[in-house]
Amino acid sequence: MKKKIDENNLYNEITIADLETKDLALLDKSDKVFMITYLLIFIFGIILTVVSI
Amino acid sequence: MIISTQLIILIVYFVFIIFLGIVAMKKVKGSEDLLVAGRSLGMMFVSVSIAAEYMGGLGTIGTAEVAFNQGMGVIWYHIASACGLMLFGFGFAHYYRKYNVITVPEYLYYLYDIKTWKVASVLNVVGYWLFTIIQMTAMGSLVASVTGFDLRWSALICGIAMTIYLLAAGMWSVAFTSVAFIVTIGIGIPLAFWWVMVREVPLMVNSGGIAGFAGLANALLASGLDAKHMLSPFSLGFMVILGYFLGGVLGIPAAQATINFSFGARNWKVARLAPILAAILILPLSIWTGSMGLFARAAGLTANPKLALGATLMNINPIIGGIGIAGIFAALVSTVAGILFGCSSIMAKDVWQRWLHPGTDDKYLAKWTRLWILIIGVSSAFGAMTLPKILHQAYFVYSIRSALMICVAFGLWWKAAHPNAAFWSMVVALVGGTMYQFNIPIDFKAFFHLHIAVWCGLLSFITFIIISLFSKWTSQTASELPPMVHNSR
Repeated sequence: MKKKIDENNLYNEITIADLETKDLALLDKSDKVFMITYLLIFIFGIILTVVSI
Repeated sequence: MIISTQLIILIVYFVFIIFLGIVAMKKVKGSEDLLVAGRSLGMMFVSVSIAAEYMGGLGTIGTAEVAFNQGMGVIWYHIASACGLMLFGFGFAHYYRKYNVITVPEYLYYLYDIKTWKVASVLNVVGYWLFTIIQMTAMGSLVASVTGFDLRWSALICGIAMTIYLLAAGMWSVAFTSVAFIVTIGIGIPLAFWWVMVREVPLMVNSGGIAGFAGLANALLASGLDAKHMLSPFSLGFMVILGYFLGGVLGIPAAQATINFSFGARNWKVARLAPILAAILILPLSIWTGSMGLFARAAGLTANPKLALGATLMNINPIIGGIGIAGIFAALVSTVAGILFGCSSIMAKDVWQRWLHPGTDDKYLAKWTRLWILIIGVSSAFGAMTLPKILHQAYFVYSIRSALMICVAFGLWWKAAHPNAAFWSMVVALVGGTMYQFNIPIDFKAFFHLHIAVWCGLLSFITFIIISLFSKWTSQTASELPPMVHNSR
């Protein structure tokens, strides 16, 4: 059964209100390029670490 | 001055980041752009800015220094810090962002009352002002060790340059340059580590021509050290590792300089997830810096542990060493910029505008934010030049951060959290921290063996609970709270 939301509760008030807004995307265009770059740098670091040990 | 390849790389890099900071200028139109980048930072900018700010001098030069003295147990430093960042991400960041705050003291106003906000503002400004001086001194030390310049002049020049670059675009400047920092740190430091372990270690006389940690162990043994202990991930002992974890947990969720980039996030989801990415970014750093610190010891490159990382990077292939030094420099710049910016934000927004000049407009705030960056930056640069012995005052900011974290956590999750408790827990942390630092009236450290952040966190915690339990909610107390918080209790 779905719980009834207490609108006077501080936690609910600040966590639920924004859920209905549209602009909640996590990644934009530049972020996707970054994620790939970041992933490559991270893999580069891990490979160098493994090779060096 | 010694003109080396490392120095040329450092100068080119320095000019490049100043240029990037100034390029960001066209993004700034009002005070919100300056203070929180118009609340439009995406995942990339928020995560790299948090990670770059947190790496700093302590995370690079400091971890190499610890490894030089006590071995590879230092790897827990960044693991603990990553836990602190994750706690901030999962537990705190979205609350801050949803309230649209610009500073941590401002959030305390929403959670508690006016007096808590005022005391938090003043203590933060004083603490971060001192911390800016300390970090500018550290940056000057690195530049002095590479260039052969006088330490004082190096600190002054770096401090002034940082101020100019922040004046250009505030948080946008930091965000733009942080991307360059992460690329430099992410490539430069592991590359230098690889070079040291694969190329330099076998060249050491006592390594037996073996690369990697096996060769390093041989060299350490030949130096008369307990190689097994020095290479153990538990070489620092349980209490120190516990201290790292408590320090990370207490030190991050209310540290304005580190977390203010989440306030500038595009939305609360970005604010919450970016610190998690930042945590992953910083995770392996102390394996690299610690190994290089240990190499400096085994190879006898320096007798001064503070110079361990710099000495290693100056004694390897100059191009790789230069990129590595640029990486450390990037870490220091990002920390100085973050701290100077955090201090100026609180001074301009909380103390200057909301407290002393209420009712003033956005234009006024933008003007005074820049003026306070200028005042705090220039005065700190001169402070770094003339007061290098101020280093030990870092305790002040550790005390405040711990107390703030306790206040924010209780304010969020304990309904009985009382404004008086928040106020007094900060005061007690500061007084207790000062007594602990200066052994007044006794040497507390000899009894408790705690890091000052943990000590102050404990004092705040106990004070907060006691005062909350014994304080009564009166009509006056309730009227001091903002309506939303009032209704929920």
